[in-house]
Amino acid sequence: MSGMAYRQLEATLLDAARDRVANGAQRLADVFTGSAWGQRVRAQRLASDPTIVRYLSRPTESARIAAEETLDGERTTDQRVVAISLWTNHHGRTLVVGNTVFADSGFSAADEVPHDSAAGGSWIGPFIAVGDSAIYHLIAPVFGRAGETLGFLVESRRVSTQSERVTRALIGDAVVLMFGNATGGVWTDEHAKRVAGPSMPVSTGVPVEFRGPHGDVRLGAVAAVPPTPWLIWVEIPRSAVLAPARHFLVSMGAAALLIIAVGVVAAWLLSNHITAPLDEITRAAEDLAGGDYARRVSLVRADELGRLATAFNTMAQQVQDSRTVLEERVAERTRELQEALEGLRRAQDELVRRERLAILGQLAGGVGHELRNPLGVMTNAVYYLGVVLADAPPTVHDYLAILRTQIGLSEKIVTDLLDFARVKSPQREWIVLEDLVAQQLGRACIPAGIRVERELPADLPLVSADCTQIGQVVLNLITNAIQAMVGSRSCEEATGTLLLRGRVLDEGRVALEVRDTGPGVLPEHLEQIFEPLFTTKARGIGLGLAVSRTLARANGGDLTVSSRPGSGASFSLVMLTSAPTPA
Amino acid sequence: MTKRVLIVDDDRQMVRTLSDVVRLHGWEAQGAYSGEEAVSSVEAQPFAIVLMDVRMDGMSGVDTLRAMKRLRPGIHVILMTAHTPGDVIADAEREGARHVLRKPVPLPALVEMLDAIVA
Repeated sequence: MSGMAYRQLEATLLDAARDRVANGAQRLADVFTGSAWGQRVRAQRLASDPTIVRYLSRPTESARIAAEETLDGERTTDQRVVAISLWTNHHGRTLVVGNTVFADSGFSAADEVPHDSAAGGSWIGPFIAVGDSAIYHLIAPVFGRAGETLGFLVESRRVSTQSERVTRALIGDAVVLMFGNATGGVWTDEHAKRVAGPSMPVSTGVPVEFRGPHGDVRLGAVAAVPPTPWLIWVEIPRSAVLAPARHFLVSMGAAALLIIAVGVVAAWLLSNHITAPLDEITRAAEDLAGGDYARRVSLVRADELGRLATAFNTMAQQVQDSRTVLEERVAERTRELQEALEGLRRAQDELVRRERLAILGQLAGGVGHELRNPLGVMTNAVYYLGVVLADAPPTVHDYLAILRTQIGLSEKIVTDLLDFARVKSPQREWIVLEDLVAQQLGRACIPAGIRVERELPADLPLVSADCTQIGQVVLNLITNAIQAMVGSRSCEEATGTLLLRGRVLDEGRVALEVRDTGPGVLPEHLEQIFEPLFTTKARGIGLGLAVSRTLARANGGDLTVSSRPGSGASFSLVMLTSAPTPA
Repeated sequence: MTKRVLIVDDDRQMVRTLSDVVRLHGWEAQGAYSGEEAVSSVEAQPFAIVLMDVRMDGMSGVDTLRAMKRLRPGIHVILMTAHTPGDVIADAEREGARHVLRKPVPLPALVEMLDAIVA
């Protein structure tokens, strides 16, 4: 755009410049033509001055002085006049005022016969080189009273310097102005200095473009100056013509650059002000959608974007809060569900266990009852045989003893089965724990190698329980402890320590600890050993501890175990020291 | 008093072995295998003591005890039970049972008990 505009401007400027040089040359020529006429009239008038005429008619001393005064007066009134001289037809120059050098410059009256007498016979000659200056002659004939030619008055003149202001007004600055002769030869500038003249042949009419001595392109035009034999040459450098265009181009370029710079800055500001915040909010929204609920926009502004950022942060906070609440609720519900599920599972397990226990109880009751009669018959039979075979060999009595023992074991199993089948409601009484322990230790068969230790403080409170049931539990624990310490050895080989220790747990509860030095209970068996039908013994149906715990709980207490494999087991029978409050 | 004991149980071998055991200790023993038979026996002849199972087919031990007490109010009855609910035992004691023993019956203790009753 700027390039096209520049090209158009350049063409326009060049057209205008061509017109200007052509018109300028012509107008200057017109000015100089007017001036030339005036000079010729004045010169002719001077040539008619009586002192001049008289001197050339009769060149006396007094006449010469008078003529000289006249000429000098004229010369000093016009600075362009460098010399005025008087010439006769026959004797050449007779009088000179001003600079003789200029007056000497080859004028020959004989050569310069005027042809034109329109201005009373005066004429203007071509430029003549004098030193580094150029002058011209204005020649006016001096006539006698009879009209005869006495001689010539010659004004040696320089080109007007006073016309510079007018000239510049007419043709402008940066214009080179030169004057020369139509016949060629001498050229002068507007200050009467000799110059080289145009660097190309000149012809009037059209302006021309040419290359100057320094290689620069210039525009030039020439005009004739009648009635003189002169030419006026006007030339102007193309660069001067195009300077406004260049200026325009530079201005345009600067403006374009300014616009671009302003645009860039504006774009940057716009981006900084609008796009960047929008981008941040967009990215924050994407992060939020991606699950980063703690994401916030750090944008503090008072405008719409600031309000948008605040609204976004508020929304993000609400989303985060809602999500937190939702997660908490889900977690709570999940926990409740898990608890409910766990409770259900426990209830189901308990139901299954009870059902299993009920069936087991019925079976145990039936079997136990039915086995007691055969055991009773066998007991009777063995007793009878023992009496009637009093004199039999000792082996017979050994075998009868074995039968009694085995019947006793069977009896124990039957008792367990029946106890398990039906737990009677406890008949509470006050029990001295020390007595109870002594009683049950008396019933147990304790191998000699097993030491029994009792730590039963005398100030232990009395226990409220069913003596038979708790006694059965204690006997069961003692029997188990001894069996654990005997293990697979015979009773004679068994060693170990059985500790029975009573202590107050807290107000209202006493614990009897039964500790052995047997192999202990495996961690995975700690709870299972209280399940019915669970046993680690090679013999036994696994009801002893199940019954014991049931009896302990029926009496308001509990039975628990702790053990480290390899360092024995410790059973803790908890009992009440006062009757429980009925629920 | 004559050391005569009537032993009542629907298990015949129980009756036999118990009879043999008490005979060893100088008692005269007679057996019965049901409540009805036992009541007939008591009606027919006198017994110092009746040793009787609680649970039997037909008349139970407690019913039989009641019938015997009506016939012979002074008769001593010892009941035996394999495993009997407490309320049955309470009934038996209310009807006048001298003892309620748990099977298997501890034999030397039984003989001592019989001897003590007739002493």
